[in-house]
Amino acid sequence: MHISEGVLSAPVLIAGALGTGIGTFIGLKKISVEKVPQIALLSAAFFVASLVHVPLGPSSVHLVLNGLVGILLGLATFPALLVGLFLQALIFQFGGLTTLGVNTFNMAFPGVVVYYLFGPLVRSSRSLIAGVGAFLAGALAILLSGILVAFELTFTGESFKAAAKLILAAHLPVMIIEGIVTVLLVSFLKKVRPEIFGQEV
Amino acid sequence: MKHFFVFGVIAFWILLNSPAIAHKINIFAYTEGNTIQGEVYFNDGSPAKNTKITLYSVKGDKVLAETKTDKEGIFKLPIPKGLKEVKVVAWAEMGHRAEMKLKLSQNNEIASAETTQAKVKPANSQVLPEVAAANSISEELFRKIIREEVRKEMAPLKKMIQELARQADKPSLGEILGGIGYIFGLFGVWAWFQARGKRGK
Repeated sequence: MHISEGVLSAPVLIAGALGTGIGTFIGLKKISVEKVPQIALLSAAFFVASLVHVPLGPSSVHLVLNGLVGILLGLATFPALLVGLFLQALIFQFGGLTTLGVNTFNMAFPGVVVYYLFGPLVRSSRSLIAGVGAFLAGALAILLSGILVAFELTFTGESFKAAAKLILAAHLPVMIIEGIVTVLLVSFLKKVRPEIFGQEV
Repeated sequence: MKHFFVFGVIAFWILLNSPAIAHKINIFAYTEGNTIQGEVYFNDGSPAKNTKITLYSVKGDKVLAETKTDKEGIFKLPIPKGLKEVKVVAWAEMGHRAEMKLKLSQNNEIASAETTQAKVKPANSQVLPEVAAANSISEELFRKIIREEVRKEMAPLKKMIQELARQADKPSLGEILGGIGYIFGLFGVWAWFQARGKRGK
């Protein structure tokens, strides 16, 4: 998920940075004071999630949680993930500072998309519908991120089909796990803090 | 809130106990005899198989050689002639890239010193014929033996350095906690400023 430095060309990097800049600007404008602690918590959760490895067969996969962050924060996903990714780049050298814009866009934009697509489902009072919505949000956010990465890599000369195939194969298990984790966390949060789903971002 | 801490503890437990595929690859290269050897691994230490390796000159980015890593993530490349420093770059799928600069100057110097000394030697042995006779093994053979012995002695040290490099690339608990601290601190400052602005109105 984290594209390294020196892989993408300048136009792609600039486009990604622009997208992230616009998203972050709108996100920051929309945030209310009450929402700030939530954003901080989810940003921290995202920061750690990339280090949480779920064992799976011979190898294992790591969580991204951009679906969960998206469902809860909407457009504020951009600032939340920007901070998380900035620190990951700085401390762990995941991705890098030049690719920060692209990487943030790749993970935050799908979060915003699932917020608008599945937000109404997740906010439903029927737990089954909310669960399905949460699963789809978690899984689709990963899929969209993977497609974005594959699309960007085509500009480096890799064929989209090959890159997309590889990313899909690698992320299919992540999608399922991410979906399940999102369902668990959403149903848990709906029980203990139902009010956070009612707040407009 | 209490439940969040339980989640955190579980997350840390998983994190500290499992291997994984990941967001970053590392490269560690060194010279050995007439080859450049090295290995590529993910940030958790597992080998990056079948990864493309490119050898560049530091200036001009000219491709000198290319190869791929084997099952253990190890690669071998010939040392290019007449260069003091090279750049070894690893390209893994999904936009991962790692590079390392490798100095070759020392090795070249030793090699050249060897040849000049070898040329001087015959004159010396003429001066001291009895010494030359006493050394029943030839100068060249002697050097070869020493080189092999030194290599044997150095092998565990090289392993240790590799191990250290791997350890250094792994995210430490301190770094993780530090990152979380930064996130909360940042959003705390933000919330503070927002709250002050509100009071001012």
